[in-house]
Amino acid sequence: MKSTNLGVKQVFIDAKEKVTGTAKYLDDMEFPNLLYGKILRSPHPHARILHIDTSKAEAVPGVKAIITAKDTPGRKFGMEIPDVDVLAVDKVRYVGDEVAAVAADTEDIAEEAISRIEVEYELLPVVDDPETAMKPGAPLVHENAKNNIAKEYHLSRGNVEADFASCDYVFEHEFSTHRVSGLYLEPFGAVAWWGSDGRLTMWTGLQAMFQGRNELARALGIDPSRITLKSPYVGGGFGAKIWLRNFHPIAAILAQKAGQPVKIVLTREEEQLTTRPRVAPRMHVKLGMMKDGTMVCKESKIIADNGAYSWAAPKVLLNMAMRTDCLYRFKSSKADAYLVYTNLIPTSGFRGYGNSQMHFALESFIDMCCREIGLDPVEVRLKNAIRQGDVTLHKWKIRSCGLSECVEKASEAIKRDRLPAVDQGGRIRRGIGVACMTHVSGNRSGEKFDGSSAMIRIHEDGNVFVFSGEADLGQGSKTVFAQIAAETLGVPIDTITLMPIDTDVSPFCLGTYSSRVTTVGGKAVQLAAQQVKTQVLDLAANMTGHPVQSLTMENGVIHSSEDENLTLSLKEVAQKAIRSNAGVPLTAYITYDPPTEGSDSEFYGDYSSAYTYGAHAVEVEVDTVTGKVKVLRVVAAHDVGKAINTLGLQGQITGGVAQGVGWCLYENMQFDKGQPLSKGLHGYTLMTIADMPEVQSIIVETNDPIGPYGAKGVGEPTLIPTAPAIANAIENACGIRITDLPITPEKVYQALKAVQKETAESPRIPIRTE
Amino acid sequence: MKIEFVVNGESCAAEVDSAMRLIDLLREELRLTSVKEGCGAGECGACTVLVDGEPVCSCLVPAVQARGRDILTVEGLAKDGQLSVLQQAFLDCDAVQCGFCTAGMILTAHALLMKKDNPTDEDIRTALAGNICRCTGYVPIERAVRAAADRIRAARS
Repeated sequence: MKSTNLGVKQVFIDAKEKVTGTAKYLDDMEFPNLLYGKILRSPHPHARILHIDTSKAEAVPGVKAIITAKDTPGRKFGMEIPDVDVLAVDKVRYVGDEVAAVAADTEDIAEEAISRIEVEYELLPVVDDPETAMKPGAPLVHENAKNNIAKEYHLSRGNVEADFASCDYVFEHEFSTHRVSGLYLEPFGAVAWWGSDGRLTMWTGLQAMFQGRNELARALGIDPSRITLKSPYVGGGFGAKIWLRNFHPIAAILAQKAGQPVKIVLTREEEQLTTRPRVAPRMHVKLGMMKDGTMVCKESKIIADNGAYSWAAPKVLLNMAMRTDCLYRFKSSKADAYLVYTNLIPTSGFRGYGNSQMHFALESFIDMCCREIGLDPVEVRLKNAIRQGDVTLHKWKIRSCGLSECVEKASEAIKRDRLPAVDQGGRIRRGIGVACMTHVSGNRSGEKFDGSSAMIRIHEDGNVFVFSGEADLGQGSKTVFAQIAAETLGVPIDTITLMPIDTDVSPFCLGTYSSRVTTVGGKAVQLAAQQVKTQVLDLAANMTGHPVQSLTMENGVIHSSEDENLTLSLKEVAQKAIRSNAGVPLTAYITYDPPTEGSDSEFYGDYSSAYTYGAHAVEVEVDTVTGKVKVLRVVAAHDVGKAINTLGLQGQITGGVAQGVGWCLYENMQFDKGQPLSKGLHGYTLMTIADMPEVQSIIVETNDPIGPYGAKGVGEPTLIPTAPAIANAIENACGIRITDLPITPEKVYQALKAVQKETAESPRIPIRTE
Repeated sequence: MKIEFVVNGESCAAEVDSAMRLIDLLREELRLTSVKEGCGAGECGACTVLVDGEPVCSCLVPAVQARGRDILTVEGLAKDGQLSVLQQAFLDCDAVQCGFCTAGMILTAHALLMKKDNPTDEDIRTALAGNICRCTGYVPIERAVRAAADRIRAARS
């Protein structure tokens, strides 16, 4: 029977509130006696705090609380490396670092008070480049450390030295990518309120609500169960709202001191100063190949900018060092990766989480190497592609894999209906390029839990409440969960309500990252629905006298294969369950953990519920006079396991492509000696509708054996191959190769000039080194 | 000073000062919270409302300029619980993800369709180029505006 709930175009269940403007985001909520919090931030990238005088600010009428570091519990927080103070102690480490905070009756009063806080700084030497910061004697960002290296990984699989020695070709090149802002449209914020019972309630739209609660407890020095986090509607996140920010504990401490609720919503300028942009690495890659196109071995040295505090960047670095090894059947690999403190904005995870950066390097490099050898890069990718059943270098078990199909379909589709390769007498050059990707759907390190929980409760009117702690930031997970619950239970989707996240009530969940929500969270919903359906059918068997094996539920009505006249509604069963001594809760709370073992101390081991694959093929045009690149078409082929909501899936693809094009061509957070060169959105070039290329999506379904109904994640994968595909298409169009993102008109123009000069004087310099 | 104006078809009066922005008047005084502040600098378009049928960034306009004007926010589009053609098209085409840009996007498109009921692709792109969406990649939004235009014309003929 064809499903009515899965693989269909399901309008998002919360879209009506959004088109009518009734959906309440944090700043739309009303609270009695609300105060407004503002933060004083460092104007210097690196300075010692000699003195803070808040007396003039305290004198401003309407000010209810002022705090500096001495008013905080003095506990460091953060993720792998807890190196963050709630407010700066002794020293500031980047422009935007939090120094003091005020709560007042109005925003204007809070701003006025902030402007009257006097801070005396002693300026310190600035380190704004990771390679310089690594050198002995470089100024230390954190004095208690022996150097500026926040984290390093050294991974070795097989024997790369021996393999490189036996390769027909060995190529080396350096690539780099830059900082870009997640730039969710809703500025981040929180409202903090302490109840008379001494518990803290905070409304905030975090992607990882339970981990945020625990981290907040750590910063405040209290038990996590004394904190409730509640999520309003969230206006996007893309990774930059996964983890706590300083303003969360700041709002809590201000609210405690003032004895009133406090709201902090960042301005866009504060967002751009302190958001968590994509980690910016330099990646030196070495690739060993045979004449027939076999990719034998890969070696990389990565030096990445961590910024002033470490957040998720250590994990991002690990992804950079590992994940692309599982895209092709390499015999060996080696990675030496360093994450280095600088006096720049702290970097972290943004859609792709490090994987996107190394994909830019590797997928660009494969085309460059193929060009040198004279091979077709698509054929080479197909020859080396990972396949279903493979166990990769890192011992990841590939249970489903549509990589080859994605590459074949995308590369074929882009060749159709092409515009002329040369136009306007040679001024316009057009070309096509392909790049591949792999990513995860979940992420288990070591023994850690990588599962999800779900609770389903059926009410006496037959309506269904689904509780999950996995956050919907707009990507549509509430709708996917409703579809899975409707399909599993056999009820109409409009009888299902997805409950808002409240950490006191919602089941424990890790959160929205690693493209895990559909795969792991959806599986938890499926299992909870199965369990509650069993309760329904068992009671229905009791009520009707028909054996439970003969009963099915469809559209909220129970049928029996033994009696075609039986029509028992879910509502009738629910009333019996709830308003009688039948003793049936019609509630299921389940915890699901995928059957992966996690990586060991050497980072070996299967650590994701599923691995996703895809390929983008693009057509670009280059204006050889101005250097401007325009992306004309993107064909995005993705192995999603099984499409649950085809509408939401298309939306993830077009949205990911837009961010991929923006990262590649337009967006850039630039600094000069630690000072940001643009404030707010001014000077930060975003993708608009005018720049958006045509997107053709190709869905490949490989029916993953573990995911719910075979589904895998697609959130992050849609951005990962876009940038290298564009870089490859540019070379195909006009023979130039840009290896440092972003690909600006200036770089293209200069490279075109250099090629013209080179061809006039001498043949081009090969990238081959051995 | 006290000003009088029309919001979503209803006459209103409010006390405003020179520092108050139109977005503050709409959000804080009238609780029309569909109007979103994304940047406060006229760069993102999330705060777009229609003033006498023209899209403006309400974060850039002083509240006093509302005097005697006719203002439309998304709250004023649905009639008796019935979504406007454009709102319905946004649902059907999945032109909404996080929803933060949606109200501004719909109003800008509404203004376009009031002037041109058969806009070209270029018309749609030019009209919406000042509204940033970070989620959808714009493709479904363009499709929704096109679908709404087609439905409006079909309903007339």
